[in-house]
Amino acid sequence: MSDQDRILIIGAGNEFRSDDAVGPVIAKKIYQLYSERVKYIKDISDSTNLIEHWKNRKYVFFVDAVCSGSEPGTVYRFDALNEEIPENIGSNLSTHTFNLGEAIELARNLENLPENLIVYGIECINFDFGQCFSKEIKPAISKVIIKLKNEIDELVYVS
Amino acid sequence: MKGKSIKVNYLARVEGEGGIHVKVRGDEVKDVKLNIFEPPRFFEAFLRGRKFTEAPDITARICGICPIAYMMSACHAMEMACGVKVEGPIRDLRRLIYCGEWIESHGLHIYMLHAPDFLGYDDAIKMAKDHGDVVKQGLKLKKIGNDLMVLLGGREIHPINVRVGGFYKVPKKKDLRDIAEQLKWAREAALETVKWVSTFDFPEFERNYEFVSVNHPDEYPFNEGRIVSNKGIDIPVEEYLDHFEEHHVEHSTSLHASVKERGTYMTGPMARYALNYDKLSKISKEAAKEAGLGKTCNNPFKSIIVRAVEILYACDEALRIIQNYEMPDKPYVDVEPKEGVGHGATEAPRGTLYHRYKIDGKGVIKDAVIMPPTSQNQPSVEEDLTEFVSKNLNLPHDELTWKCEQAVRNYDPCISCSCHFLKLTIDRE
Repeated sequence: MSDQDRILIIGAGNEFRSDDAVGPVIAKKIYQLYSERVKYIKDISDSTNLIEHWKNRKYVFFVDAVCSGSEPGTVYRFDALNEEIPENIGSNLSTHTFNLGEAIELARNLENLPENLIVYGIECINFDFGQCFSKEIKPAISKVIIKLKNEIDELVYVS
Repeated sequence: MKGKSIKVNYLARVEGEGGIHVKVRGDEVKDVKLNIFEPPRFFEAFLRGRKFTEAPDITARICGICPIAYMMSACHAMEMACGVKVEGPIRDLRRLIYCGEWIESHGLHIYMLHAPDFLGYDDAIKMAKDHGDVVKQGLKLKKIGNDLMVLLGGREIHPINVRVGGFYKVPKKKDLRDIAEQLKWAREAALETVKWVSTFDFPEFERNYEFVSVNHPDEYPFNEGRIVSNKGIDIPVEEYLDHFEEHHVEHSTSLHASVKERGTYMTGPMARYALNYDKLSKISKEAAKEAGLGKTCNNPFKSIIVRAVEILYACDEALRIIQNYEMPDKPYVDVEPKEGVGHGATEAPRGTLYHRYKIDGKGVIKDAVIMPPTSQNQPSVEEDLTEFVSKNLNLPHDELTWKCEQAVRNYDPCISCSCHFLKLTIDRE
């Protein structure tokens, strides 16, 4: 299996809703850095398709904006297959089908989970129309990119 | 029995948010309310002042599940206002993208939202544990519908390739040939789906509905035709508002609709099926017959079988269109604005979706009327519940509540469209 088939970055969020764009922007950045090694998707308009995207993958990274009332710029990391996902991460993937937690549960019951699923969240504050990030979250974006780079470097090195 | 209330505060497995309150006194159902408490969305108001060419993209945003229906009804209405008729391959592609929406929407409803009712699961996630292969089949079927929407519309939710007069870009023959292989699998899967859902246990329940649907002389309806009913309506789409009216009720932020002369009516798969049975493809008719359906189905719980027959039809029709497709020289017909009024009624997965626009000579929208199928079906849902609860008052409370929720899901209501929706209360004293 090539690295590209093994590693998938998913960026959830709307690129035209200010801070909500952290997911797609980070996923794209990682793809630009590792275009030979990873695949990325950023348009998750139907969460049931997530299962199709991540099944048979070895490593999946999911990045999304979070709005929980914590300090803006707070970075969260979850091992989604072994920890409970807070409801406010991946909750707005679709108003019609499933949130991230439900998609994971469905995939678990269908035995279509990836081997590893890591979720990164960044606490955001501005979800208005626009294409600029709030100054409070810019450092968090860089931080998550570095963390993801480290994780992927390790994976590639190990393989 | 003195009295009770059946209460579902937030009905699950429907599109949007709302609830049901059933009030029972003695052995009589006193009141049924389908409470829709989502705020109104004012689309008709903010369409005013926009260009006629913007209506398909703006109204597509009303619904994430049936955006094609909104785009198509808007396009047809605008083309009527401007005196343009779209024919040939562009018209066929409109039917094709509609096939994608039916496969995707019906697939989602049958497998993920409605089947758990019949098999005794709270949701499809739990159902997947025991029926993994079935759920996988449903998801794959749904994805093929989505793929067809992506191919023709640019993306599956809120497509961006539909315009007044046609499309911005049309596929090559080869693009369609590639998806045909998937559709052949989908057709087989749809056939299995019809067989599978026909084995479910259905409550004994029928009503004498007034069915309303688009009706075309040569084809099972997607885009065009007259508006007909089994109780005598047979009108051109321009006369829609002469026969149907919307009215506000206190318990719903979504308008109700009725036939002016008579009252409640039903639109959607059962209505289309009853009024257009002879237009179904051979394989669809055979599958319906084998599943035990007659030419009309009056049991709303069996709407799941009719939906499965319609998926089968959509796959079959999509393959027929692809086989005969010739790429047009131009992806759209030019449409120049003309002062006037245009009407469009097309068949969303959930039923007839009517649009009416008045535009000025520069193509600016002066006013708009949109009647989504869920709004039109709300009184029928309430009447189903009234009759169903009246006949089943001796059922244990939990079972009756479950069946009432199921009765609402028979309609695959889209509250996002009607304004959003669900939550059930059975009130007994």
